[in-house]
Amino acid sequence: MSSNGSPSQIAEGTEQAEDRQKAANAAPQLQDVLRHTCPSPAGPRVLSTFRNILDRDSCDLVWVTKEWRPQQVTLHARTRTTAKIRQDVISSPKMQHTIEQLSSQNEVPKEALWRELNDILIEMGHTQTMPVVRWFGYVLSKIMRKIYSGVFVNEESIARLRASIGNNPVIFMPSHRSYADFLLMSYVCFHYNIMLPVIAAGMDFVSMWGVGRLLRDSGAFFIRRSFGNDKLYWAAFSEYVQTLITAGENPIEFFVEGTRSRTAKSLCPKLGLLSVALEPYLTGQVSDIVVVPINISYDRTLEETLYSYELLGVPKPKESTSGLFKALNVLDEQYGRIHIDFTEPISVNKFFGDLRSPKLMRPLHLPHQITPDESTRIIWLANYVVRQQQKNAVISLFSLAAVVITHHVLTKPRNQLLNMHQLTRQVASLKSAAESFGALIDCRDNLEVSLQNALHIHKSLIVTSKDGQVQVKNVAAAQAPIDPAKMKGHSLQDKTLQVGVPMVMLQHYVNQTLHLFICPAIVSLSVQQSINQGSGMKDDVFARYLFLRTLLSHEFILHKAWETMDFEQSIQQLQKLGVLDESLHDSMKLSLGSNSHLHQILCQLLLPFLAGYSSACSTMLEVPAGKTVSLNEALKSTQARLEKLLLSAQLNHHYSLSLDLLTAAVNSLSSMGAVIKNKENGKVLYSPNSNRLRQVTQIVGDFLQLVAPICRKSQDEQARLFITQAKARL
Amino acid sequence: MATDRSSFLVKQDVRLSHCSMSAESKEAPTNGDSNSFVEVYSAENNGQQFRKAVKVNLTPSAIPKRRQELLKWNGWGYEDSKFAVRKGVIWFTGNRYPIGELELPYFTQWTKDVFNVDLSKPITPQPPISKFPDPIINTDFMAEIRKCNLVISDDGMDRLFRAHGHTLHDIYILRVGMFARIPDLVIWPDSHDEVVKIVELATKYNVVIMPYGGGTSVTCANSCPEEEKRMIVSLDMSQMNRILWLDRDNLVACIEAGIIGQDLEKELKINGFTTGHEPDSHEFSSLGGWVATRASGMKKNVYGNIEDLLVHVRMVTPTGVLEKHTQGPRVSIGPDFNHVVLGSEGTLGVITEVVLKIRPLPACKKYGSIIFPDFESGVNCMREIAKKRCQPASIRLVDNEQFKFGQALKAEPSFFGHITDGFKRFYVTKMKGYNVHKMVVATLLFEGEQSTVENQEKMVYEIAHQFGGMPAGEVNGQRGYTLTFVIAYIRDLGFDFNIVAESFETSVPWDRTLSLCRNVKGRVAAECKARGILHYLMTCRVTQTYDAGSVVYFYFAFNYGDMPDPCHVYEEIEEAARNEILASGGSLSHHHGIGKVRKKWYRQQVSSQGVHLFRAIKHKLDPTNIFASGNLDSGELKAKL
Repeated sequence: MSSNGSPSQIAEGTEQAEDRQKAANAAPQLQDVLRHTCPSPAGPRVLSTFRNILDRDSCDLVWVTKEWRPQQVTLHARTRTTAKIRQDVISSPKMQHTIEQLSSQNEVPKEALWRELNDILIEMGHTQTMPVVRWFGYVLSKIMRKIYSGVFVNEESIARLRASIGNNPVIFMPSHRSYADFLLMSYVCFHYNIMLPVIAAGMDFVSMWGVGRLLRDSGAFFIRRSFGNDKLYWAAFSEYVQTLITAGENPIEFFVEGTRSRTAKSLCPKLGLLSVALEPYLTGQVSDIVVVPINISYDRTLEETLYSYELLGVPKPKESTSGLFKALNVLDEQYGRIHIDFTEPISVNKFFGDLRSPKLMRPLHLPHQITPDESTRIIWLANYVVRQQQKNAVISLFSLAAVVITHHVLTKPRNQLLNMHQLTRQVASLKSAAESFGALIDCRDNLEVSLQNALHIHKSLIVTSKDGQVQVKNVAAAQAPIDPAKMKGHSLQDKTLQVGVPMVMLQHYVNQTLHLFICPAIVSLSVQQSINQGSGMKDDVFARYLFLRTLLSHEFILHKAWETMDFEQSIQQLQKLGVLDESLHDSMKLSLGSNSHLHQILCQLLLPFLAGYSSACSTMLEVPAGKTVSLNEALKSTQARLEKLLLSAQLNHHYSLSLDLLTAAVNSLSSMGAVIKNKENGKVLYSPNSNRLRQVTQIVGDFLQLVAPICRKSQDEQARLFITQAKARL
Repeated sequence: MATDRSSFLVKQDVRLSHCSMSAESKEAPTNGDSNSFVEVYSAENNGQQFRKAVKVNLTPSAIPKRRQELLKWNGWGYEDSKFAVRKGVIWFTGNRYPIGELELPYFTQWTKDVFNVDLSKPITPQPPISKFPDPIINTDFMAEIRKCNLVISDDGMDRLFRAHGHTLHDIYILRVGMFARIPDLVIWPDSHDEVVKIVELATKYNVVIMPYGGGTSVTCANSCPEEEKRMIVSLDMSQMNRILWLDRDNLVACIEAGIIGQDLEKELKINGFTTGHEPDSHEFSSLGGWVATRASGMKKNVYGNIEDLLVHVRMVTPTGVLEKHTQGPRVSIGPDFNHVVLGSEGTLGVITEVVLKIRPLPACKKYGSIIFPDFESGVNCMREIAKKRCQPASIRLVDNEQFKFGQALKAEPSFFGHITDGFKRFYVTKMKGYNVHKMVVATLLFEGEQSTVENQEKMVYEIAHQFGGMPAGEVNGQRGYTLTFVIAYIRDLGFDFNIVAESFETSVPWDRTLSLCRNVKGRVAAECKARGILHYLMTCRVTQTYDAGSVVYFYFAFNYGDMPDPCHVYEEIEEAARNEILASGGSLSHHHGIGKVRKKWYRQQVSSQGVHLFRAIKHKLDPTNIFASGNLDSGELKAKL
């Protein structure tokens, strides 16, 4: 490695180094801001403040027909009809200006543009009507009672929310793991008499007969997934969002992650809609905006199987109503509990440190140019929102069990099956580790009972035999036969899929815990490598940590501004847990502690990622100089390479095949400067930056070596072990 | 040449002023008459006074040299006029104002509702101060000044009176403490030439001069910089209050800068003229002060703001007199240096004489009012009126809080009055569907020829109708304007009951007017909430219209309970509000000025180049910082010297 430069040097592409510098400069400031924004929480979160809202005194019918007197978002709120909102958008100076401009630029008659605008707005607009909301609420109550054992809302957080609304526009930003998120928020608001949110939704629903209408009537408005250069659409969309913000009638709800996370990990936040929504603040039309990150934690995700296929490359079925009805067989299953937590409302004005400067000579109809300073803050805010969502998750015991089971499957020989006793013991120790990382674990009874209940919910994936053996079950065959031609990635073999699908499903639940473990895991691995190389000095560890952190920054929420804070925190936590040695006198030198089991588990968590990234590196290295590949080509050949490794038992974690993971890998290599991103004729193409790529490949390989030996002990039969286990249950 | 002119001017002066009065006061001085003052004063304070030969002041000022004899030493306005509590009911003392000697039961209730005050537990301010900081005396300067035969005083109360304006901070200090620095000497110059002499001496001996006009500043512009170690002379301009000449053909008058608004108008009225410049403070504020702060008058729509009225100005600076040697109605002779004087806030020199435009008194003056269902429709209506450029002399829109406050200020009505009010209320709220908690009122003042006024009325009411407005009568309009002068007295009552209050203003483009009002109110609400302030009033009115925007005036008052330093809390909240104003597209000030309280935003408003330019001017005109009030731009310059 020494010949290839230190990891930290590699970690930083030139532009990134600048960004980092910028972030570092601003970091102390933000710490201040955050302290200001988030007065120290009243105490550790506890399950007892969560209340099951399905468990209510009145029957559903009485509940849905209750008198509707919601708490207003702002005092100046005006109630507008759909037509009035449309009229306001059309007559806004911004739209007038845009249409005049487009008309003269493109030599299109204004009338045509006005008509087009009107159509766009009709396609977009929400039509929230209380009768529909009420009846929908009734049906939802019935469905939820059937499939969920409870919808638990943190009532302390509701009280906090109530106290902070009334003055300024409100944006709800829930985490997005499932379609159910759309309906849940409105359901909760209705329950607590808070003005129902207006929800930004993707266009995909509109084509679903009946469903589009239903969602519209419940308050959804629809945005096209891509409208790149369509200036009219862009103006209409931003004006629509902004009139909702400035009128302050309803909370606006959107998912900062942009789309449902198929992996159960938080997605890197998207900035487009957020920037549009914040513009009225930045241009001084409103004095503040209250952003409320919301965590919605599911014990079991409705779409778990679907996601698993999708990640492996089996195409997502187009949303259709008949598909929805087919999906209704979900109604026969149990999905456990949902936990909803409204996190501490964020005052954008405080977060931005009253950044608005009077550069307001520009009239309001001209598009606002976001300054670099504003842009930095928006990125920050977006990352902060996602972190808040993560911090306020309720982790199910099954997620911890998934970590233990995966670890067991990967590291122990085939004949050594996991029994319930071992599982309970290991989950218990992992639970206390997770709690020391700040997690709230859903464990209401004693651990054993709770764990059994949790496993029961997932009986389609994990089975416990009578003699207490815990085994992974293969999921039912794909709901639709897979046509290899339709595979989005490499056409994986059947046997790969058979292990891959349950393995990826299991990883879905492992992923639910990764925001807790990722920084400690990176630090643990960095310490180990540093010691192996004869150092162990804190600086050296930090350099390695930085490399991994940068490498995984498209995979996890690892905003640059927090790198030092995360590092120091992780070290403290790991020392407390005995993963690192606490007793050392030299504070600048780190060494491993006695808790090698947790150390192993933590490092192991990185395996699928390092393996996938490593293969992506190799694939890109094979691209001949001067040639380019598309993302899709890169993904396909990386998957093919990985499949070979899996079949030859050089690798045993199928999650490496995840297209989501591999896409992140390519993006990461690109932002590290190891891969060059080119745009040709609107197509994005990648080519290797050989020297740098070789360096990165080497370092990733070195890290992978460290993780791999742990599982190599049982490498020979590992892959087959799993298949056997799975097949046994088919 | 200047001397020639002034002798000529004096002749004119004699002709103009009503001789009977000046003669009378000369022979039979009565108490409170400024002409008699000099003798009485010197007799009482022998040893401290250095008087010059009595020169009859031909236009006697309503304000005496010893201001504390007529005006409150620690509050607003006349000593005999104030809100007071009698048997649990608030009333207004004296008979200078229309609500004088009337009990105000609704207002009494209003203070309880809005501020939760307990009228039985007033806080008493400290008694008149008798111990003052020792003056810093520059003996060489004093020796020279004594030779000049000027009216001067080093009496503590005289000095204290000129150490402040009417900023909340100033009055709060007067009630509970003492300023760290007050002027060391007060001089009353009598003419431009005397000012020139004084400035020369001050420059020679490095003595600081702070011009003092009406003392109505709300920006701490009158405050002495605490760190100033040189002798500070307060130049009280009140005796320079003559109209030097009046030109009926060209409709201009040359006036000494110390004249206060009410005297100026009284004098001009006798001759059938008016300047039409009527800032809310015009009972007490001076012409020089208007120029130095870029004042704005209520009736600017007809007469213009001070910069529109000003034709010529003389300013005495340490390096000479700045003035234009022409009186052309408009000139193209490079950058207009009148605008260096306008808004200079006492930092460059003393304004001594001003030539102002005057107008014949209007034939017709008529009030009016319009009620609107809500603030938004009111603002939209004003925007339309401004677009059509048919604004009456004054048009003001008060928000719902101020509307209710105005209603509360009505005295106990007669039986008949009560019935009509009841019926009106019923008509407006029940028949017309206005919501008492949303409706707002615009007050109007028309001035001009009969036909012009009629025309304007018709247009304005027609436009109002389009925006859901309904004429609400002349009486309501007139009340709105007459109450203006009384409102300034309320703060002193508030002080007695744990309430601090202040106003601040801005100008803003039309399309941001509404959002600015909303944002600032929201911000103040949030700041109050954060500080646990439960009982407060935050209200605004749109007081002026321009082609390109409006002027918004805010009042903010709160019950501070047992907070140790309410004044500081107020300042923090106003700072937050000002940040909000700027972020919402408003300006730093429309007419109050920068003073010391808004210095921190000056650079941001005028750019660094602007600050450099200002400093360059300052450096040329006043290289040794004789005019060290420290207004506008802060001490960086001083550090250099």
